[in-house]
Parts: sequence; C-alpha cells; structure tokens
Amino acid sequence: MNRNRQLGLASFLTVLAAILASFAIAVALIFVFSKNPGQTLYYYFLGPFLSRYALFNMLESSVPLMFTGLGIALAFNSGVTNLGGEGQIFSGALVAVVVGIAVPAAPRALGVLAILAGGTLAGGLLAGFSGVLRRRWNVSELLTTYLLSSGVVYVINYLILGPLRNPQKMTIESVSIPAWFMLARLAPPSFLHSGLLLALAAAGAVYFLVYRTHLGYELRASGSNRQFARYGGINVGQYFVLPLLLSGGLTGLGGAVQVVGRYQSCFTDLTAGLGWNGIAVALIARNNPLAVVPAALLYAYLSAGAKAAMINSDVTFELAAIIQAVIFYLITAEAAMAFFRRRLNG
Amino acid sequence: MPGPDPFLLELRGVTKRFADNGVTANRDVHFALVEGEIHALVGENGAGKTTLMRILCGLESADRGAILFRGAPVRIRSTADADRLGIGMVHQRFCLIDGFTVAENIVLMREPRSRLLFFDREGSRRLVRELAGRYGLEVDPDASVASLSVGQKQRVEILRILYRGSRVLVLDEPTSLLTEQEVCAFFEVLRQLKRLGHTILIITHKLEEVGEIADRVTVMRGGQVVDTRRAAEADPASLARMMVGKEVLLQVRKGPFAPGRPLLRVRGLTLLSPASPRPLLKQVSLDIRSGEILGVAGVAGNGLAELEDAMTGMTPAGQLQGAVSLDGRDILGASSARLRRLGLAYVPADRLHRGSSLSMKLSDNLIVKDHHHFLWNGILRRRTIADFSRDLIRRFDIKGHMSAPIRMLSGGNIQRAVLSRELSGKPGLLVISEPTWGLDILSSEFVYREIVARRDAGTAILLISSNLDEVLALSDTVAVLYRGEVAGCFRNEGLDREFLGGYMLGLRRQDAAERGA
Repeated sequence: MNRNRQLGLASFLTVLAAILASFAIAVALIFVFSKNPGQTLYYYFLGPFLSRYALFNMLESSVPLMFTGLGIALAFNSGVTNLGGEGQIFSGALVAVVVGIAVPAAPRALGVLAILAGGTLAGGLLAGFSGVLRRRWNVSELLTTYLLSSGVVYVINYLILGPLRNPQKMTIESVSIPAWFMLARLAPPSFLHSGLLLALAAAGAVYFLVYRTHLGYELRASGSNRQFARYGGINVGQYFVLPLLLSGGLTGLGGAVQVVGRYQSCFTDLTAGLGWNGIAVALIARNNPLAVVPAALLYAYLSAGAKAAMINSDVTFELAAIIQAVIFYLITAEAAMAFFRRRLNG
Repeated sequence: MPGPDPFLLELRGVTKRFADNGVTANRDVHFALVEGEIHALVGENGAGKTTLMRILCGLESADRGAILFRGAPVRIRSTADADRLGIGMVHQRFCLIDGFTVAENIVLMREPRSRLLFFDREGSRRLVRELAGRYGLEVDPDASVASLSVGQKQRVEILRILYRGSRVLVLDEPTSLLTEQEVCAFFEVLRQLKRLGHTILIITHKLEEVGEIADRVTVMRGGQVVDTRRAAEADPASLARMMVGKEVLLQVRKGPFAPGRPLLRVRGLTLLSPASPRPLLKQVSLDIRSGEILGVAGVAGNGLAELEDAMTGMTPAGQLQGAVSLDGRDILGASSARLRRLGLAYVPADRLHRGSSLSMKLSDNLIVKDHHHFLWNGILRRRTIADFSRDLIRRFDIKGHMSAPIRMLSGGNIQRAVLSRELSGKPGLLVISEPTWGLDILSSEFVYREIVARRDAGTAILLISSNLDEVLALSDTVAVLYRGEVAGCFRNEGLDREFLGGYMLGLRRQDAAERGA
C-alpha cells in the first residue's frame, strides 16, 4: 500500500476531471453558438496539431508561460504571492534590449548570457523590492507586486515610445538587438526557438532547488507554516525577499527570452497577460515545478486552439474568449481551491 | 418515582471518548440543572468540563447516556437542536463580527425584515434597546463591536443568546478576561437573569466566585463528576481538594537526583503584552541545573503558555524584561534559531500548528530541528534523511509513511513524531509542554522514560504541564505559576496534589523568606 502514490493519483484525477468537465461545457457552448459546430470543434481541439507550423508555434507560445509559471510556483511554494508578473516580464524584456544594444560587439555567447542575466536581474529586483517592503514595514507583497508592476508598465511604455523607439519601423517598438544575439530557431519556418530547452532546464533547476536543497527546504517550511519554520530554528524573516527575488528573476528571464528568442525588440503589448496566465499555469501544476511544463503546454494548446477556430470557423473573438475563460476557470478554480484549502489548514 | 422530574436539564450516564486520541473525556457523567439556578462547574484542565458543555450545546454528541429535558429524553445533535430547547452558549473567545454594529451582531441570522426582504435596521435597533432594557444590560446598539471593551462584548454575546430566546445560558469561563469591576457588574447581570427565571451554567477556575454567585456547584475530575453540592456548603479549600484529588497514581522510575552545573537562569522575567492590561509574566525567577527536571504547574491562563514562549524564542520581540541566561550566555529575547544553535530542544503544547507543518512530508517534519546537519554542499542528503526518519519512526512507533504529508497521520502519531524529533540527540535544554497530551498510557510511559533518560544524560529540562500527576511524578523541583507569578517553588520531596493545588488556585502563596530558605 502506498498512500502517497494514491494521493498523487487522486489529485491528478481531480485535475483531469476538471479538464474534462470544462471541455464538455466548451463543446456545449460551441454547439449553441456556432452555425457549424463540427468544423468549429475540429479546429478548436485539433487545430494546433494540423500542421508542423501550428504545432511548433504552439510549443513556442508555451515557453514564456513556463518561465512565468515557474516564477509564480516558486513564490507560492515559499508562501509569498507575486502578482507582478506583467511588470517583471516587461522590465526583463526592456533590460534585455538595453543590454543587447549596449554590447553589440560582444562575442555571441557572452552577449546572450549578458542579455539573459540583465532580464533576470531586472525582474528579480522589481519583485525583490516588494519583499523588502514586506520585511521592513510589513506591507503586503500581494499589493505591492501588483502596484509596482502596473506602474512600471507605464514607465517602460514611455521608454519604448520615446527614447528607445526605433524610428526606422512603422510599428511602435524599441530598437532591435543585433540579429546574431538571437537564439537558434529549432524548426523554421515556425518561431520555435532554443529558449524551450532553457525553459525545460529551468523547470528542472527550480524543482531541484525547491525539493532537494537546504534553501528549498527552508523556503518550503516557511511557505507552508511560518510558525513551524520559526520554531524549527529557521530565520523566516529573510524568506520574504529571497523568494520574491527568485520568482521575479524567473519571470524577468521569461521576458528576456521573448526578446532573444522571438521578437528581437520590445513593444508595448509584449507581455499580453503572460504574468497573469503564469498564475493559472502554476495553479494547474499545483505549484510543482516539473508539472509546470505540461500545465504550460495545456494552456498554450487551448490558446492556439481558440486562435485556429477563430481563423478557420465562425467563432468570434468573444466566444473564443468565453470558452477559454470557462476552461481555465474550472481548472484553476479546482486547483486554487485545493491550494487555498491547504493554506487554511496548514 | 416521587412526583415529576425536578430537573430542567439532566445528563444520565453520559460517556464521550475521542476516537482520534483515545481519551475518554466524560465517563458516566450524571449532572443536572434545576430551573432558575446558577450552577457552577469547576475542575482542572482536562477534567471534562468543556466536553460536558459541548455535549449540552450540541457541539459534540455523547457515545452513551441520555439527556433529559424536563424529564423527557431529547437528542441534541446540533447547535440548532440546542437552540430549539432554549440552550445558548457564550464561548470563552467571543464569536462577534468586528465590523458590524452591536445591533447587527445581536440579530445576526434572525434579522427582522421590512417588506419581507430588506434588513430592518430601525427595527433591530428597537429590539436591541428593548432587550437591553429588560435585562439591565446597557449597550449602544449603533456602536461598532470593534470599539467595545471585553466586558461590553460579553454583554453583546449574552444579549445575542437572549435574543434567540435562550432560557438556559452556558457560560465558559466568563470572568477570565474581565477586570474586577467588570466582574462585579457581570455578577449583577447574572442575578438579574436569575430573577427573570433563566437558568445559568457557569464554568470557572476561580473558586472564590463559586460561593459568591452560584447556588450549586459540581466538581469534575478525570472526566467524572466528583460531587454536586450546595455552593453555600462548599468552601474554596474543600473544592480544591475535590478538584485535585489525593491519590498519586503515577510512578516513574528515575535515578537519584544528581544535578550538575546551573544551565538556565531566569531572573525577574516580566512579559508585557499590548493585548493585556496586566503583565502576563511577573518577576519570574527560576533556575535549572543540568540533569534536573523543573516542573511548572498551574491552571491554564496563569502564564504557562507565556513561559513556554518566552523560554523558546517565540515571544514577539520587545515584550520581555528581566534577565535570562543559558549556560552563561544572555538569551533574553533571543530568536528560536539562536536558541536551537545553543542546544534547545522544544516540544510545544501546540503540536499541530507549531510543532509540525501539516502539508510537508513526515520526513521533512522530522528533520526540522537538525536540518542543517543533513547537508552536502547545500544539498539535502536524502539517504541520510531517510535513514534518520526510519530510525525515529521505528523507535517511537510512529504509524505513517515518511514521504506522506504528516497531516495524513492520526493525532497520536503526529504527537509521537514531534516528540521523537525533539527527544532525539543530546539537547542541552529541553522545554517540553504537555508531554502526554493525546497519548494513551503505554505511550505516556514511554515518553516519561525518554524524558528521564535525557535528564540522566545531563539535559536541563523545563517541564510545563497542567497535569499535576505528571509534574509530581517527573520533576525534581516544582514551581507553581499563579497569575503570571511564581506562587511557590519546592524540592519535590513529599509534595502532594492537595498542597500544590492550594498554590495553583491562589489560595496559598510562598513569601520571599520561604523561597530564600
């Protein structure tokens, strides 16, 4: 008898049940609102698999979700809340651009490394500052991560529209980093880039950090029950700043990877809700860093399906958004309930 | 049977055993309330008062026995059932909503409506004023509950159960948080309620109050009713005797008392908390030598929990005054982390929320005290941790898998896990609070042997327990706390329950000259 394994199985089955129930509702909605439900269903659920191009683009869109999902999962594991993913990704991306244009002559590997490090640092410092506020003045990091992030978005928008704007482009975007800093495309003509491998490595690294190291142990102890951690001789005060620094670092890294992997520059809508979707991904994954990978893939798959159905059938943007919302609502509500129930009991 | 049943509410042979820890909280309890009386229920912690009360109010159900209301058997399976019978309860911790007004709190769940649907604010104000006037319980219906004093909140609680039509009022230690003036006013309220025909059951630790307010008094000990008598015939000393009993059942075999050097030294320790008008600990001075067990006894609410926190780095910063040193190092207000490094092992009274992290694995819980020792370059040594966990699981007979979340374990096994962690190794100072809560007799004996083994190996042990038998059986020295002060401190030679009981209940007090001797 392995009760542990049974538990794991039970929690996997509940997530699966939530996914299936939400799919059933989505199908019902499509039947009600689409004139051609068969075609809509086909594109909605199979669209992302119909071509290599679509498939690899779906994989590409899961990459930033993995980074933000990991960042949020790390914060949740440590008992802190990071609602500032948007601002952290955006500042990660912006600093990546700035570093990229500052060292145009650097050797490629070194340049890419500097860009990624810059983005990580930017996101980390932004979130870490909320940790300092929490530690020094006990200001809720839930509020400050969100508020700081919202403010920072406008500052970055100004920089993109003003000093860093690329005057040679018709679109509003920042100057581009040199092309030789861009990551390798894994399956052209799709956008899939080697950032995916970096994301997978990050998932492994975060898992190792959280479950196999001394630091991870202290983070988990503080996160699951601060009184217990303090009782056990852990200096819990330091575990407001550090987990937020790491969490923001991962999200910021996600932003930098968007620049060196996909866009080459920074523009005003680069984040596109990735910071928020990262929370959904982390909740679906039950904050397990390894499970963040399939959770991000599921999320990317559903987004890609909605897009395919919009292009190829009579699904409007609103309907696609509603269906997507229903699916994520059910899955994350189930996961969130389990998470918060545990927080309450713990 | 002569005439109708004279009792309003009667328990016959009620037994309640808690399955998760095997403790029989009420054993064949016979208890009765006469209509219109004020009845006091007294007993030590764990004597079964609270369980009895919870059964009356439908918060627990009895395993065996009958409840009779006006002579007819009834079942009280929920608070709604109790409500229907007119039994209302005021908990020790108030259940009021801070953001609501007094009137809103009182009518909550039974709000007067206007036009069927809307909350009738004016109507509820009027109702509350009427109610308050009738019982002489002055309150301002529009005041926010958050702004009230403890005494005023208590009135609101009482008005709330009166509003619900309760005729039997069950009050759990109603005076424990009140100032002396508030107690006087409160007793006036009780007398007024009695004049109006209400029946009152009041649970208390304060024996002098029994004679002052109650008509009859019931004493409980060890889950059983010792006696019920007229309050006028019960002086505090005889009540105390009944509460603590005489027989010492517990025998723990231990080696001769051979204390070593002084290890823990506490001088004039005072705890001032913003939450309390009086100091929670006042000028406490204690010494523990290596190889010595100092047992601290006292009734709950007299500073035991505060002393536990103060000695283990869990008191909020800046509230302690005085001098505390461990092995010559000043540790007043030191963090738990620092104390752990200096060799503190600590079994907290709250095993569930302080002693364990319920969502973490059993093995994660078992290593927290020594988690710095299971490392290789910052990485957890999983095999060493597994061996260590297996060893504790085997030695302390913990039933549970080491990689299952500890919350999957039964209460008794969580206790064992916490004990096993803190008793392992060679602590310099062991603070252990309520060591055998929730354990059966065999496990208790095992824990006693382990504690004594630490003592014989030279650990200084601070034992905090509300179980007097335990304190007497284990301690080399016994200190009694009353209202945050050391009421007495004795070598454990020829001490008995009755003697200590007098100090615990504030009937006796050692003066400075005696302590010096």
